[in-house]
Amino acid sequence: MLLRPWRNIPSRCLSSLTSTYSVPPKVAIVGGGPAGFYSAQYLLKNMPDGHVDMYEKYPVPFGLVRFGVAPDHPEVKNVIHQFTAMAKSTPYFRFFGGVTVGATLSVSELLSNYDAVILAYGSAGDRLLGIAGETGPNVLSAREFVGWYNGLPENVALNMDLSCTSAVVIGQGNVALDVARILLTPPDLLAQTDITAHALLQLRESKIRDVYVVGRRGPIQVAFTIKEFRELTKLQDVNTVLRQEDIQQLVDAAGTFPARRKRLMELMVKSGQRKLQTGDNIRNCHLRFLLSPRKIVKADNTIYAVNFQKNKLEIPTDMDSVVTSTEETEAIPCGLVIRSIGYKAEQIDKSLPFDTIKHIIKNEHGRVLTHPGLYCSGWIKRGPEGVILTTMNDAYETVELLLDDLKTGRLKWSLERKTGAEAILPLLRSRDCDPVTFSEWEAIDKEEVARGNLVGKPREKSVDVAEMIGVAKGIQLSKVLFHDALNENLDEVKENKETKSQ
Amino acid sequence: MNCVNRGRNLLERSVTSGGSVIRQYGYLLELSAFPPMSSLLRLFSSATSWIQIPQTSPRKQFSSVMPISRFDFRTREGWSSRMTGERTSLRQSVAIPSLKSSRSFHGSSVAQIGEFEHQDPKSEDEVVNIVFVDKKGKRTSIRGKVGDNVLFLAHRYQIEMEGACEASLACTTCHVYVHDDYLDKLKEASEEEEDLLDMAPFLKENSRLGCQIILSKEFEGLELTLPPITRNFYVDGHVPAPH
Repeated sequence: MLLRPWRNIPSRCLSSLTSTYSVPPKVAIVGGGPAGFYSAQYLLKNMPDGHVDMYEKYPVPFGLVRFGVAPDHPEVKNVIHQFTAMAKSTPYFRFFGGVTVGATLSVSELLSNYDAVILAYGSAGDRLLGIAGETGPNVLSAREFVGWYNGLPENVALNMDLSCTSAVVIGQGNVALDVARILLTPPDLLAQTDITAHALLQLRESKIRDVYVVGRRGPIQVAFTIKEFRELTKLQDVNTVLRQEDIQQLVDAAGTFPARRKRLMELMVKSGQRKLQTGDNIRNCHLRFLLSPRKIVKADNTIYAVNFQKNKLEIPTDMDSVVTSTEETEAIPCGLVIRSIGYKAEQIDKSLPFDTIKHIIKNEHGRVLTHPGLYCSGWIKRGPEGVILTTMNDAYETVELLLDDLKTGRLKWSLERKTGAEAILPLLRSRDCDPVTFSEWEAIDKEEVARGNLVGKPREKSVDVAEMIGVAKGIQLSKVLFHDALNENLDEVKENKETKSQ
Repeated sequence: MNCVNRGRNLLERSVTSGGSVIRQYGYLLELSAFPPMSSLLRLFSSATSWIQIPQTSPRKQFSSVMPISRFDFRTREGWSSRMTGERTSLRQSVAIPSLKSSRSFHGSSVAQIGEFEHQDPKSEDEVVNIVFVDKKGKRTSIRGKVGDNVLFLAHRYQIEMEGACEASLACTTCHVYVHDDYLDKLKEASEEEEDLLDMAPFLKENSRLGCQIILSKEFEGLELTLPPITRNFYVDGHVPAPH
C-alpha cells in the first residue's frame, strides 16, 4: 500500500466537531461515477469517522469512467485504481449497486435517514435536434452509441445497421470525435481494448468509409480540443478531410489568435493539407462547418441523407459570433446519423427542484437550498461538460460546503441519531432489491478480466444486469460458466475434427 | 464469410486471411434477461470476440485472432502496457527518457507507483528542496531528491495534487504553476503535455503538469503553486474557517 494516490490523512477538520457531538455524520451519495467517488473521497478524508454510503443504479461502479471513456483511452481509466483503493481502505465507505434512486428508493427516504445526501447521478438523457426524421432506426444519440460500445446495459441492443457507407455525426465536441474515431479505427486495433464484444463484431462488419463531423459554426469555433483531434489525425488508414475554403479561413485567422488556440488551428490546417491516402481500406473523416440540420431524409426507415441549411457567421473570426442561417441548403448522403449535441440530465425524483432550461438541479455552488441536507455534485450540478478535473474540483466545492454546514450548524445535524443504511437496507430488501457491495463488484471485475484474458483484451465487460448480479452473488445463471464452456466446446470441436480426419 | 452455430452456443466461421482460410470460434453468451431481438442480431451482438485455433498447434492452445500488431497509440508508451490496461503508468514512466536516465536501476521491473519517491535521499548531494503553495496560499517545504517525480513526491507529503491518470498523460489533475525563475530550467513540454494543458482550467503561461516534472539539482528551491479550485468558489465573499 505504499503511496496510493488515496491518502488517508488524519483529519484536523472535523476533530473539534466530532468531539462536540458524539454521533458521526452519515452521508448518502446518489451515483457511483467520478462525481460520487470524488465526493466520497473528499468527505472521508475530512471526516474519517463519518459514514459514506453510495447508491448506484447499476451493479457496477465508476459511471462514465466505465461507460463513457472511450475504450482506446485506458490511461484515463487509471483513476479507478484510486477509487478502488479508497473504497477498500475504510469500512466507513459502502457501495450499494443496483439501487435506482427515484424508482426503488426515493430521495426523501434517503434524506430522512441520512444527515446529508449528495446527488451525483449525472446526465442520463439526450438533447434532441427537434427536426423531422429524428426518431427511428439508425438515428442515434452519441450517448447511446457510446453506451453501445462501452456496454451500457440499456444500449447493448441498439437498433443500428452499419452496412451503409457513410455516417453523419452532428456536433463538433470531443464526444463527436470519440464517435467518429470508434467508427473509423481499424477493428483489429479496437480488438485489443476493452470495447464490448458485440460492438467489435458489428464494427468488423461495418461498411462505413466516410464519417462527416458537422458543426453549426465555423472552423475557428470548433468545440473539440487538440488532444482528441490530434488522435484522429494520427489514426491508421484514416484521412482527415477539410475543405479548401475552411483551411484558408484558418490560415488567414491563425495569426490573430492566442498561442494555444493557434496550435489547434495550425494542426487542423496541417492535417487538412496532407496528401490524401488512397486504397480499399482507407476511411475518411470529413470536417464540415456552418451547417445546421433541417431534416433527416428517409423512406421505409432507411436513411438516405441529412438536409442541412447553410449558416453564416456575423464575425467569422469571433469565437462567440452570432450564427445566422442563409437560404442555401446542402444534403449529405448517409445511412447513419449520430447527434452529438450534448447530454441532458433527468429529474429522477419529482420533489427535486429542477431547472428545465439548464437541465440541472437548482443549486447554489452545490447546495440545494429548498431541501436542507441535500447537495449536488458533478453534471447534475453544473451541466454535462468538462473534464475529470472539473468534476473533481466541483465535488470538492460541494463537500467543502457540506462540511462547512455541518460545522456551523446550518445543517441541523446529529441532534437525532440517523440510522443510515441500517434503515435503508431492510427497506430495499422488502422491495426485492439486494444491493451489490463493493467486494461483490470485485467478483464481477475478476470475471470480466478473466474473460478478457481469453481473447487478448484487458477486460470483457458483462453487458447484462442480471448476469452482473449473478456473478456478484455467486449465482450461476447459465448452465456453465463462460470459460469452462469455451474450453469444453473447443475440445469438442477439436475431437470432431480429429474424428473426421481419421 | 460464413458462420455456423456449432451448438451449445459455439459459433464457427471461416475467414480468408492472406490467402489461407482461418477458422475462428466465438462463444454466444447465454443471458437470461437479454432484450428481445431478431435471432440473427442476437447471435452477433452477444457473441464474444472471435478466437482462432491454430491448425497445427497442440490442444488447448489458441491465440487471438488478431495479428499481434503494434498498437501504437502513444509513441513513448509500449504496446504491452496498452494490452494489460492495468498499472500502465509505471511502465510508461520507465519509458520516459528523462526518467530512464535518473532511475535506470529500475530496469524493466514494474515497481509500485511512487515507490521511488518514498525513499529518502541517500546523501545530501541528492537533496532537492522544493516548496508547494496551496490554493489558500499555505507554503509547504519538501525535501525531495534527484529523480523524484513531482506528482508522486506531492502524494508522499499529502499535498493536494491528484494525479487521476497516474502520470500517464491523460488528465490535467496535477496542473501546477511553476515559479518563473525555474521555467526555463524545465524540459520543454512535450506535444502531449501541451495538448492536455489546453484543457486545464485557469491556464497560465507558467502552467505545467506536475507528473512531467522530474527533480534535478538545478531545481533547488523550486516553487510550485496549485491552481484555484473553481472560478465561482465562494463568490459571496464567504471565507471558510481554516480547518
